[in-house]
Amino acid sequence: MNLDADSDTRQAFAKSVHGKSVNAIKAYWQKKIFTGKGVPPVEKKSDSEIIAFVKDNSGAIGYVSSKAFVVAVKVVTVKE
Amino acid sequence: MSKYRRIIGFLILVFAVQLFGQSDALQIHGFISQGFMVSDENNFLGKTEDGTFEFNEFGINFSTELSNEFHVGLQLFARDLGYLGNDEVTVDWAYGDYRWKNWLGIRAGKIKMPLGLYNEYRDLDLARTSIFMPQGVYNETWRSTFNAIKGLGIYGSINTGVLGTFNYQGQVGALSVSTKDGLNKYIEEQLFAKFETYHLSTTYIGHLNWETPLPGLKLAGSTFMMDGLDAEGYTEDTEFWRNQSIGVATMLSDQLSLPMPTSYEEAQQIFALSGMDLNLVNRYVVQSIDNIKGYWISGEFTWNRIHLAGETFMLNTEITTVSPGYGAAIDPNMETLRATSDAELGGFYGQVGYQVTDAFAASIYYSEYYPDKKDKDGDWWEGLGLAASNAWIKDTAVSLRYDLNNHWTVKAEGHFMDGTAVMYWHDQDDPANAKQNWMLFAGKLTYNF
Repeated sequence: MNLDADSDTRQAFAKSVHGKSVNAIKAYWQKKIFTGKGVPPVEKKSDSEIIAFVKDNSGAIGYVSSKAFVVAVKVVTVKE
Repeated sequence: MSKYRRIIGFLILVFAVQLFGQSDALQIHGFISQGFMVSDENNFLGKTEDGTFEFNEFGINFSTELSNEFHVGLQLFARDLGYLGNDEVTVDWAYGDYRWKNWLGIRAGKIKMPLGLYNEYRDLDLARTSIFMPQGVYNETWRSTFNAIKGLGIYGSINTGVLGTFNYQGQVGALSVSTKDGLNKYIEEQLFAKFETYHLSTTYIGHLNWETPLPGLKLAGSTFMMDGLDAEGYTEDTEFWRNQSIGVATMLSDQLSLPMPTSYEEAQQIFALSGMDLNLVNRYVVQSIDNIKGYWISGEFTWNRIHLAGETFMLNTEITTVSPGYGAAIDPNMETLRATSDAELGGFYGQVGYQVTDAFAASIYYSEYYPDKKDKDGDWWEGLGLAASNAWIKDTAVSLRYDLNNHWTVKAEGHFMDGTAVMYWHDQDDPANAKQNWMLFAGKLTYNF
């Protein structure tokens, strides 16, 4: 799952995990969407919406800001 | 449904999607573009000498993942580009995609064709800086025919590690050509005929691209094979076929010991006296285009804010014009007039793009295209009394793109043209004197969601 493109958390995630800008990743997904080759991650507007979706959908994974209040879902720590 | 009702219906749909949002199960995306074109000389696909707003596109797609491996979707598309499209809604693509492994997936339905690096995305204005793709490789008039194939496809991605990643696609299926397509109009112009029906054989497509170990460098090759297509129709009453008829009547006059004809009317009299229907005007004709083989070689390199791309394309084929029930005047054993020639067409381009800021990009490309590589000077066209410049087009294009926000994009572009290939000579106010050097300017505004 992704946060909205304007979100600071998404910008940071794109840079540190994908090594690309949000615009570059959007361009990648636009090519997939408009040729039918892929379905992009669901986008949510806030940390709480991300957490609620992950809680309600088995197998879902998302990211939130470090300040988010995370309850009822498993937290995965990524070490570099 | 009228064109304007289609446009309004699409806008209502876009508004509804934006207002009510999307479900997590079904994703809906789309785009709507409106552009403007004007040329200082010649008409490019529409009445561009007067300036034209007949330049818009709409697309909406629906897709859903039925499982981690299987997703389905479809996209509806309509465009108006001068003569082409007229906002008729078509199924742009619609297929199911099952990805068993990274290295093997299967698609079935109407699938975009991976010809060159960018054919699959040629309708996606957002995917590039320029408005028009380089015509040397991506002929705008052939877009609807070379857009998607109805059939099966396999694909996969193989990461070799040290040698980079190889991505492949193979497709087999059927294309279609309608009398409204740009390709039909092109074939009609070559033969001065009106075609009514097309029959196409099975098409095979292969594509391999290599994401090399050098970051940002991608190389690709594509191939297209079709045994052939037949276009059935009638020759038009044109100077070309009248002159051909005079030629036939001349041979017939010699056999019948009659005076040689000096005009089309005298040729018709000779046909009447002979009792043989040999007039080539308004005659049933089949244009067969056989052994069609196309090749694309492509490369792109992206480094920081710079993007370089270059591609070359060639298509070889054998063209046969057949007019059944004809020939007795030439050879009593020949029941059918048949004329065959080999044809080779193709082109290339090189492009440099620069992402000035996250929102602003610029690019420049140079492209060349020859509809007949054996006649780059246009001698055949001159022989018909038309402009020799129909034999080539050399295009230098400068493009600017600005993303106003995540949804709105505006572009402006200028083309400095040498040649008049990829234009329809029927659209020119004075076909014999089409201007070799001319300019085209285009602007476009796109909304995507």
